[in-house]
Amino acid sequence: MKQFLIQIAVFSVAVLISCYFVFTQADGYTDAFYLKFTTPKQHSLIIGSSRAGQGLQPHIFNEALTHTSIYNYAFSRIHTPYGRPYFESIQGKLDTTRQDGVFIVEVNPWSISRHKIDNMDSRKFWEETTFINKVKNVSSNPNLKYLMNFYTGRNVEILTKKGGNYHNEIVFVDDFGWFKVKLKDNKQRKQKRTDNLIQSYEILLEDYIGLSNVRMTYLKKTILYLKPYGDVYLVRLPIDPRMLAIENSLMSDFDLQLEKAAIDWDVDYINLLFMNEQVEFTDGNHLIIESGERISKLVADSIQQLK
Amino acid sequence: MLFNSLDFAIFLPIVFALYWFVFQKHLRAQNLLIVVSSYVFYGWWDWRFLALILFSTLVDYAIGVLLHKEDRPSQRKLYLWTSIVVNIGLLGFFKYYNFFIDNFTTAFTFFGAPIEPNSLNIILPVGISFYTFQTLSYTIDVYRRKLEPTKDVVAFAAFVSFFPQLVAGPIERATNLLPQFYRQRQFHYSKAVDGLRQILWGLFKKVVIADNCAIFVNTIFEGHSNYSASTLFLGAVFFAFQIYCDFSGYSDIAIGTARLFGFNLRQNFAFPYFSRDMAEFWRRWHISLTTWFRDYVYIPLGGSKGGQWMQLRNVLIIFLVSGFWHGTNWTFIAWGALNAAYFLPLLWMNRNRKHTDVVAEHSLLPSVKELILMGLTFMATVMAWVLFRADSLSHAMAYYKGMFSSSIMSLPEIRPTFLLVFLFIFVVVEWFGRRRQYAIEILWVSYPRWVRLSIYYVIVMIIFLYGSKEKEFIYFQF
Repeated sequence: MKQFLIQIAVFSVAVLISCYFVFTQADGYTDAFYLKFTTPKQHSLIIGSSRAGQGLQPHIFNEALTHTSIYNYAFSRIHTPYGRPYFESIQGKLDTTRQDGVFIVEVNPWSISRHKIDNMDSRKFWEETTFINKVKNVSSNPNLKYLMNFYTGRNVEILTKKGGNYHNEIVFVDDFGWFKVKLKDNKQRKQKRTDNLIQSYEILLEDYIGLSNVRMTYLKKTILYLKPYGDVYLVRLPIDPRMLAIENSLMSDFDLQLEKAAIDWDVDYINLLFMNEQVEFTDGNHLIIESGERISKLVADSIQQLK
Repeated sequence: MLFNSLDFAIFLPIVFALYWFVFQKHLRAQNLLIVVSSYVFYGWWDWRFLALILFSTLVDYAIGVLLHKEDRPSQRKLYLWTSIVVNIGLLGFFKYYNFFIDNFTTAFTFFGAPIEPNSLNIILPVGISFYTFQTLSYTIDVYRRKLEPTKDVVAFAAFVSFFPQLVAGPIERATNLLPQFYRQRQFHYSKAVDGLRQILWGLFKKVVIADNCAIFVNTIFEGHSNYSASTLFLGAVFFAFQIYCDFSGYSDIAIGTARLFGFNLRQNFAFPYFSRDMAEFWRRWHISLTTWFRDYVYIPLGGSKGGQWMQLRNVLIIFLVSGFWHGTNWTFIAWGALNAAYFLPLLWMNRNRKHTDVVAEHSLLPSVKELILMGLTFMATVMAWVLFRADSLSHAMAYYKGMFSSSIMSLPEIRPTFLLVFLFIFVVVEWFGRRRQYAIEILWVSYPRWVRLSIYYVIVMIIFLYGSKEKEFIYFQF
């Protein structure tokens, strides 16, 4: 028995060290979210859905706004609608030792709508089963909880760095949490992708019930929580007009409601829907790098003016 | 709890330590630990269904005791049928209720008398098909006086719920497993190492081969209309490997885990894809189920007594019942029927026991004839697996139609190089280990310890690096 246990122990240690080494190699190429759970606590944040994750580029803000190092802590429609899970995750990521932060809170109808799986009577959010709720330590490098439970690729891809790279396209998360996506596109491919996404969102509409008072309350809670630590700005990012039509059918008075809410909460609402026709998207929902740069600059300028 | 989960990786060493260090000297306490651990293992999935296992255990324990005391044949028969009705009743309700309701509804509607029956939202308790058959085998063996009934309820509960094989077999016979609970188990270094080796090989099969095949199988079967015949063919071959590695991988882990605790379970798969005809295949595939049907259904039906037609009829029944055992879909019944169609001509021509030895038993490589026979048998199983994997009969038919189109000569659109490499290595290793209980049983044992450990280390790292993420075993749904 003794010999057996010693051998098992030595073997297990060797295996565990090797596995740990592989995990230490995980980085921005691992997937679209992992890196965000490995960086230290941040005093300035971009929060919201994948529109913000891909569209708002922290380095542009950091150049335009002095004394600011903003971090993109936005994820996706699935993981980070406003609710208890995202609120607690933001609490975990915020460095509360400073009070001079900048917080860009991206909003859209999906992020405050009730999903049919939500059970608001018992405060059950559909995103509770995802990493945003389950990964409590959001500043651990490597983040073993995330890698073991929520990383969906094969671990070998952590080493080969191919997780986000297909056909020499660039897909990775940079040091500031920005999800950089550069696709080798032609017009046809982009059109097809956009059509597919628009079609999928038309189907998705059936899963949403409309404004959720609980989610709206959590949006308010999030803003009120952030306010003591800096300036908060609500931002509505541009989208493809066809996507806007879908969103209008989900919540026709969304912008009106948010404008009112922003006044009540004493924050600024930067609505960039007027840019819809002047920017380009990878799929009708997410800005391409150049357009994201433009929009980020626009938001940064607005913040400068509002400050 | 899944074998391929972190939960199990923590659970197993804890139970192992308690078993060998705390309760080693107390047989009854060891058995009780097995019962409690098994209930935790099962309850991890859904604790509510523990009541079913407990109920089944108590019913068959009581009937075993009653059968022993009773000599009147009519009364003994009554006890036996009570056990059969209770066990098959539970299985029938949880597994087949909605199937029958749906088919009755369809039939009545077809004949112009639509009905609106009460269908229930029934969850199938994991492993019910396995432990039900296991407890039934006990009662039937006691009834046949092949086995003394146990008076030790803890040992019996441990036999029914023994966690390594509780949810997906091998379906153990009481005559083999139950007596092992009466005897003090001793820790043997070689047995434990052998157990670990078998667990390792089982994990490799499940996590690296089966789960990676599953990714491509799902893509190809779900989008079959978009793919060429060669891709559909490849998808069917991948499924053949997926189902084999998934299920035999589970059996390997189960048998290996049992060995860690000093138990010997029976071999469940004996390299079936190296079979030279379908009769040999069925002697090597899911052995514990095949022999269960043979002993408890085929023989009571009359077996080979009553002439060849009776024998053919009984074998056909076994194949159909076996198909139905797998699931509540006509595809499984069709799969059983197709396998019967493969098997019955061999039986008819009295060629069903032509290949009872191991292929190329005394040589390194098979002869050309053996190779062709193995290839043909494998292809026959691949064709049958399409039925097994398809969602419906129409899905299967559409898939077959796609497979036999002119694009069969084109290159498949999906060509996962790493998976093909692993499959090649896997087949080679299985070939070299085909005379054993599992492929790597004695492979490399003559090498120095450091070489052996290095090889195991490489296998573990392949599992870690190339393994797909935690996926359920296919046979859980049966």
